[in-house]
Amino acid sequence: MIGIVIATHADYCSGVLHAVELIAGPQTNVKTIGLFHGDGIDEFEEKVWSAIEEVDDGSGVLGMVDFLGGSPSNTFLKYMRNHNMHCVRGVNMPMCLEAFMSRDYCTIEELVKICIDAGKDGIADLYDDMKSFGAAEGEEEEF
Amino acid sequence: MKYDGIVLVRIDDRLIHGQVMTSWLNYTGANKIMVIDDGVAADPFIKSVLKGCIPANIKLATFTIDKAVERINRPGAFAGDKCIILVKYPETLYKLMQKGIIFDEIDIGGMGVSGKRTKFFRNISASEEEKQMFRELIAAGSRVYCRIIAEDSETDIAKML
Repeated sequence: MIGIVIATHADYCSGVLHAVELIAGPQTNVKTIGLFHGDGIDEFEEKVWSAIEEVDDGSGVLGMVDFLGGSPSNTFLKYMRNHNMHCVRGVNMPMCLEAFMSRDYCTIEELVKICIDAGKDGIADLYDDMKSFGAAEGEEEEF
Repeated sequence: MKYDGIVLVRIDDRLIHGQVMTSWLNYTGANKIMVIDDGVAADPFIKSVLKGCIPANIKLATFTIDKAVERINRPGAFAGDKCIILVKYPETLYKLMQKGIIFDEIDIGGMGVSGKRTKFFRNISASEEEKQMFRELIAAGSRVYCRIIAEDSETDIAKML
């Protein structure tokens, strides 16, 4: 199973994991590391890097961070200087759901694409969605 | 299941939501969702929302109890299908039973606290009237269990009533 490390500012990482677990059940091979006011950056980096090793059962690890240019993404970039690894940014709930439900059945490269597609597809105006819903008249007849 | 092609019969007061959309659709591989609810069947807006929220490869339709009886009793009703049946309340299944539709399995997925309901298992609540309906459904041959998401194990409720 592909391991996942989610690193973000504050509780976003643990929050999104809790939300995923409510729907997809408890998850293994995953670590979340939040960066809080007053945290030392060296310590944070150390936590992220050791989490990457811990969740790797030999199938590899995918990182997830909130946005480009924050300390969580900088931490992964630093790690990439000496390691080949993928890390998706812009972590959100649709991305996480797809990631956790797919990671048993795909390669890391495939998982990266799944995450990016699901993350982007998950964003839209609900009002437009509503307008696009067709009428449900007569649906029983064709069911 | 006694009725071929029915893969899940679930009581869930939220009908379509994250747990159903993700966990159960994935687990059952369902291609059809039959919502049975007289109230929803009379509400074109909610009906179109339910229909619009599910993936395009899954067919959903909302039935009144009477129309559902007709549809389920059709010979080979869901042959070749994988159909999930969703109802909001035990009362719907109770009324179906009175009209001769008895499912061998009933999953309680979501019954929130409201009115006369009290909690009886984790986040599942039921009123005395609803518990009595469960007793009668069980006596009629249904196995009634709680299983919120597919990844959970089943908890038979017969002894908790």
